[in-house]
Amino acid sequence: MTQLSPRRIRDGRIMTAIAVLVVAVAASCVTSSALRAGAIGGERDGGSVELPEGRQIVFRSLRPGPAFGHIAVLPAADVRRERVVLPTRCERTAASPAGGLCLRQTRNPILPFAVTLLDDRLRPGGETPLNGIPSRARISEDGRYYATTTFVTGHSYLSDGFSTETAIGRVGGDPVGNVERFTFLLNGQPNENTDRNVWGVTFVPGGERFFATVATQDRRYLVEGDIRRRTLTALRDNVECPSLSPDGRRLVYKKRTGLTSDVWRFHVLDLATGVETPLAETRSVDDQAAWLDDGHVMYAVPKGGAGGRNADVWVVPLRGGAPRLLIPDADSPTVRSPATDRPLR
Amino acid sequence: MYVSVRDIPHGARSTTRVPRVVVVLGLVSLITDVSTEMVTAVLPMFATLALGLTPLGYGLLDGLYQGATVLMRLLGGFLADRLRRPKLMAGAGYALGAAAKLMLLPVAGAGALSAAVAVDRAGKGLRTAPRDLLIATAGPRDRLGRSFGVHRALDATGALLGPVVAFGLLALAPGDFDMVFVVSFCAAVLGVLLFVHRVPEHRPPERPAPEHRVPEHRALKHRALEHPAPEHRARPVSLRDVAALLRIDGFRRLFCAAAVLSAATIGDGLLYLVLLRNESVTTRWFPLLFVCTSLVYLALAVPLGRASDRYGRNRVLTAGYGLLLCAYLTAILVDGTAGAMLCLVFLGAYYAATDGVLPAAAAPLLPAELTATGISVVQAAVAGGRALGAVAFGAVWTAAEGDAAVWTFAAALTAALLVAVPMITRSRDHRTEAR
Repeated sequence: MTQLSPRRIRDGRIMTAIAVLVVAVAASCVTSSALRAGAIGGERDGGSVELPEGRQIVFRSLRPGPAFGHIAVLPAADVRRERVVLPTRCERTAASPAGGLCLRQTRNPILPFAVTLLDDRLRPGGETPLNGIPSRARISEDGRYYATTTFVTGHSYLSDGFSTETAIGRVGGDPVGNVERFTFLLNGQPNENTDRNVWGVTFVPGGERFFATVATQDRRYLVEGDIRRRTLTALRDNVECPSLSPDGRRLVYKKRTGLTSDVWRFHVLDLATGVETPLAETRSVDDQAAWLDDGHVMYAVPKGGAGGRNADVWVVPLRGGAPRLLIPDADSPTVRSPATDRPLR
Repeated sequence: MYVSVRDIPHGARSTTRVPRVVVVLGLVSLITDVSTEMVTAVLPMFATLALGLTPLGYGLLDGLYQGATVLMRLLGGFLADRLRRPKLMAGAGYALGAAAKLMLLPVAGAGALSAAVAVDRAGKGLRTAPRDLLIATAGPRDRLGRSFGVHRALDATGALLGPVVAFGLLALAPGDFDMVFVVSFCAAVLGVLLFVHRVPEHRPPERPAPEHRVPEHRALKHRALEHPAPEHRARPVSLRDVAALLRIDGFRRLFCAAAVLSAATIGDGLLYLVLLRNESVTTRWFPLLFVCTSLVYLALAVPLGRASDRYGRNRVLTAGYGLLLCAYLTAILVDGTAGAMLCLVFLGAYYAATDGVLPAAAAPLLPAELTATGISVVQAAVAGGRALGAVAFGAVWTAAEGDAAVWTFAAALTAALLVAVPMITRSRDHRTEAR
């Protein structure tokens, strides 16, 4: 072994050269990535950005480039304008007149995700750690409550299921906590199943109520939640990810069509009459829809099918008309009317 | 350059070096495990955040691949023996692992993601048995326990470092998963280079060395292997030869004992959940449970491997399952953080006493031309047993309360030990162990 032939020595030199090259590739990749992250790291002082007037669509810009994943804003009246991209990067975002919510990746390897509240000009404030990988974010119209849904591990004993954790926070107050611990009322009876998962919260404006999804024993229920009484009341099943219209009269949600197939279609429920109508969107979209206005629903569709790395925001009217592309290279859309524009209640 | 771990003088044994090949293979495994585990650590995040998938699909496929890995292991072992090119087979496995990391870069959609994971697992399955053959043939047979112990300690170190490296890189550039994949690929390539350049091709002995032959007093039990003369090696091994392996008395006993014992194991993830449920630990510390187990494992792998050379590999193997029983009992009986820590120490020690000792126990029982196949067969028995145990424990847990389920498995493990101990103590190989 110690006696190396000339050929082995030559091979050794080639191997060393390749190894040095490989290390150089890795090092340059890490350096450029870290520099890029550092260049957009000065997120705190993003105050100089001018937001569009009037009602705004707040979303995550997925344009390839250094600003991938940053919060962006467009006027709802004219989505063809150039988007205003903010310096804050998020994994999920949601906005309300009073501010917004940003679930983001931190630089802390022990607690890799955090919730950041945004002020009325969408500038990030203090952050609190978030348990799990972000999935959904919503903030109430009055800006008092916010809800986060994350995927967590360690809740279920079988590795092939997934577990969610949905928490409601109070802006400037004690958090309401994990919604899974609320009393779940199914057919009027408290249900004690331990495999309960809750996700997809949508708040009722100006109150203590919300709608959400509860899953247990392979069934998914639309529930109405009450923060004060700490209850979740099942309304119907086979439904997930509700979203309440601005006028509070309708819910849009995903409904499983076909009993065995995992195909989900958007349906709109009229809360007063109980009439359920399918929307014109025929693709199976995995997103919590948001309302553009009382007559239109928007949602993110991955490019190139489920699991694509990029997405577009589409919009579909409640009555008549096919879905159309609203904002290319975007996801996580919500609408906000800045507080000054709103009539006094 | 000589990489060596000097054997600390122990008792009457003389000092010998750990074979260089074993250390190199250990370093290759270390680098490869850093590469693989850094991807595994960020994959749930990547699937959820970058691809917008629910972890559900990924988890389901993961279970499927565990089964496929067993088949790939058997295939890797058999082909290594049949082609008599264990280095080629193991190298192909390492190369597949590196290719899988590259496949992650353009990935979009659940299908492409699971294809990349499948290729990675296939590579891991393919390389395990040929690599263990290279370790088994590298050193003196009475030092196999130590050799495997050194390899497994280095391997576990890599598995421990992988997530640290991955989360460290993500801290530098949050959300840049592609950068993590590139670094992982580069690490995998370095592992392949080290393997290709520094591991010599295995040369099967021209003639069967005397100590490889079936001892005369046992020959009657080995009808199937009695006939093959030295020229038998000219013919490639066939599936019939593999079936004949189980007719080797000692190997059959080891195989059955390993299968029975591993079917009574709960599985780490599930045991951690027991600790979580008993509120010995909180969810936040969940990833640390794995770290503690690995630390104990890598600290004890070499000492227990050496103990197995001294006191008998099958004794240390069975004692390992005794340690697992202790882990179950502490999980139920001892409360608080101290109980959790003690449970993890027992669990890590169980791995140290079984994972490397099993191939070390199997290799001397096998004919030289079927060593890789035999090792893969016995490892497949353990993998199959563990999978069965995990499913059974899930069912028992659903039916009964948490502690009752663990008690059930403690009883099952005790019964398995009672069955396996008489089986296994008779399969001890007197020629290759010190006592």
